[in-house]
Amino acid sequence: MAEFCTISFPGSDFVPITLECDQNLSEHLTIQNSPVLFGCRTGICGTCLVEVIGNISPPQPEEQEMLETLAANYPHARLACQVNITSNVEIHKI
Amino acid sequence: MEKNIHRKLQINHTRNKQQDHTALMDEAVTNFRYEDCQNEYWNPEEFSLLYGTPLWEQSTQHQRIILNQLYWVAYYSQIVSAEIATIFFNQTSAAGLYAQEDFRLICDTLDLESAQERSHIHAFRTIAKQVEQALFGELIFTYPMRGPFTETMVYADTNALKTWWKKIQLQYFGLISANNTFLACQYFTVRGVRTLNGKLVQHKLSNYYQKHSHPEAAPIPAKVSYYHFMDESFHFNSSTIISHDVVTCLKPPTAFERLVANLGLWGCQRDHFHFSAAINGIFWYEPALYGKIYRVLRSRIFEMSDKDAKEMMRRCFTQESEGLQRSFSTHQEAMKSYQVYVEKLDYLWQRNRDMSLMATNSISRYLATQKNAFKSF
Ligand code: FES
Repeated sequence: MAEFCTISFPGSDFVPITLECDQNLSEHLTIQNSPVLFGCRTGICGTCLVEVIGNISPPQPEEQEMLETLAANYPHARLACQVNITSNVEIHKI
Repeated sequence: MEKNIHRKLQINHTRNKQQDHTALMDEAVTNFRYEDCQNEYWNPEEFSLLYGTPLWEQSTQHQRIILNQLYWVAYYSQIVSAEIATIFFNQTSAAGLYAQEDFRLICDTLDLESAQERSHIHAFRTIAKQVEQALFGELIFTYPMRGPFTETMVYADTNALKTWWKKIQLQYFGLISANNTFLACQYFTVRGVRTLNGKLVQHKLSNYYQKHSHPEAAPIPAKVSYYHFMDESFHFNSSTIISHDVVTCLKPPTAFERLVANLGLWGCQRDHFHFSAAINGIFWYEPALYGKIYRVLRSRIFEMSDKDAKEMMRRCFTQESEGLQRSFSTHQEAMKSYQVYVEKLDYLWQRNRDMSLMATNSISRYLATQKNAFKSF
């Protein structure tokens, strides 16, 4: 049976979204159901920069390189378009 | 230029060179033979011409496949127009940017992007022409190569005067932005907004290849959608860096520069005012498309009589349908995305921040326009 993960957006008016685990966020979040704007959707432009609180796999080197340029002071910063969710997460816009 | 901005530009340029998809695209197109993929979808099903309209509902499986392929042809014919304009404005903007100390990297990036655009245009046109010749014996959505100052293939309710005026404005903008760094940057605000919209749909088109059960055996047009999407990611990124970051290294804009920048974005809202039940994701003025849809319905694919074709078009264009709802929803998503994208640009008029012109369109307004226009078709 599929497992489900909930994505919530504390501090915003957006209601939490429940997805099957292992989904890519950029295929399910939109600017209408979340505070996240996706631009390039390939981990290069930083439009989807957010803080993700939850237990997910760490960034790959390419994402890491971008994060160092875009948000060096945010330990939980991630590019939402590069994230596969594997547990419940909270997302904050940076 | 600030170190961090330079670093972003550097990553973008280096990765774009390393991951350039044009060689793959050129090779794929050389091998394109319509016979090899004429019996399958090239896009997710909902990206088909007139999807979710009465025509779609009553089409056979074979006709649906053709409508799916024609979406590809029509969609990318629009992209050809956009890319022709991009090649020109990349050049003029690069001239305006090169006048600054250490802006060479940006100009080199734009050169690379223009070369990629030429490969994309070649791919889209080669495939589209072959398909249309095979299906109709003539070109319907594809058009001859053209310069950068014309309206896109199918455009709003234009006339000779408006077309002339648009041409003059574009030429003037090219001229002044080549000698003005702020305006050169401003071009990338408009380019960023337009690409942002493209990405909404192109992401889904490219997923079709990525999620294909045998990607290597996927139809070549689907591969081309993916390669194009990948290249354009870097283009969107340059637009964002230049219009959001590089612009902050310059002196604040003068009143004239602010005016021109705002007029540019207002023009973009005008271009993206309409939405089309025929093609979800392209903001074409539908009545300008009637003649083309009519030719498709009269062709041997649909074999409709004059009367049946017109009746079908009346139902598709003047009545509410699932297809229309979907296109409207894409339009709304685009509008909201643009608002967020331009949020930090403090020199913009409120009506450009709110995208208030685009916001005045609606399904009821669409239907009223179609009912009126269809009477004289
Ligand atoms: S959308 Fe561009 S980095 Fe995520």
